[in-house]
Amino acid sequence: MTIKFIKNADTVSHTWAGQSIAPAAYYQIQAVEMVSWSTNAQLLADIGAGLAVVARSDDGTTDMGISDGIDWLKDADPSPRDTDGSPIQRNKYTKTGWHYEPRSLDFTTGVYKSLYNRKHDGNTIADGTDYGDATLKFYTSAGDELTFQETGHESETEEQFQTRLDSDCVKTIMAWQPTHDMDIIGGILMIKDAPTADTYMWTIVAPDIPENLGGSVPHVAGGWNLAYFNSKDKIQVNGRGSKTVVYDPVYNSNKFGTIIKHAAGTNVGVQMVYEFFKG
Amino acid sequence: MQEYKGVRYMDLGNGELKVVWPSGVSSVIKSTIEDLKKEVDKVSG
Repeated sequence: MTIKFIKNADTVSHTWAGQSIAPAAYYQIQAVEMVSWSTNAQLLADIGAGLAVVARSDDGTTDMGISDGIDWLKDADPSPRDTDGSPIQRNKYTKTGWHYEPRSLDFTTGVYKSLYNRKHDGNTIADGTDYGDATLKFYTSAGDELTFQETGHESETEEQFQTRLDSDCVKTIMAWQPTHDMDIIGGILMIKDAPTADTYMWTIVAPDIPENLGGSVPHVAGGWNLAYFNSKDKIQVNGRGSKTVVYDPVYNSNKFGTIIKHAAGTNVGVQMVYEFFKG
Repeated sequence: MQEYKGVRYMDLGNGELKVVWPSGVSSVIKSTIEDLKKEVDKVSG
């Protein structure tokens, strides 16, 4: 049963539905009285005049306004309705003021400086400001990271580094860690140059935190073989709902790592689009 | 749930903990609270 109170908001006592209520006092309507109170013309008029107030408790914390109070008293459903009286449903998918913002991260496996993650400013493709929240890294079959002008290759050119990548890089990791909170929905994967050899992909959330500590959670699991797809194919992943992911600069638990294992010299163009709502 | 350095956890019994990292990423792991705290100290530096 819904608990309903009537407060005398006047400076003198009032009697409604045969019940006298002192100034500032609350009266809890009993179950058997519901009909007589909710249809009492004098009470409804006095609520409208501000002399009586409907409340959900008698402690002054839940006093209701006139419209809401009368709806509550009469068990009316205040939800919006169409001209036939059918309730109008308005599902809300994210926080007020947030918007849908699919973010694209474009890169090529085993290719130095191939990550494109820029804003729209500037005039040429190379002009836009980099968002600065993603990295592209390359690894050998031994798990060693290959970096430009690393020890032993201090004077190499970018072309020479690319030659090393073509020879030794068998794993490319694109990591994205947005510096904002978001409600993530899903993602779209587009392949520019489909490989002919087996090429496997995973997406792992919080990859810096070991699995035994609750991190390294797979969002794309099992290893998707990109060799099954044709160039310019698109794969859409629909999360069937959104999940809030809060920016975590301490443990980096909001980082998304896309791992692609490929044959040395295999350059697969990949565009990852993360779909999310953000403020 | 309890919290240690921003990481929330709940003892589920049977040697299992539910761990929720600040981003909201969560999982059930086999660990003691003490061991979890040691690992959190390592990760947070």
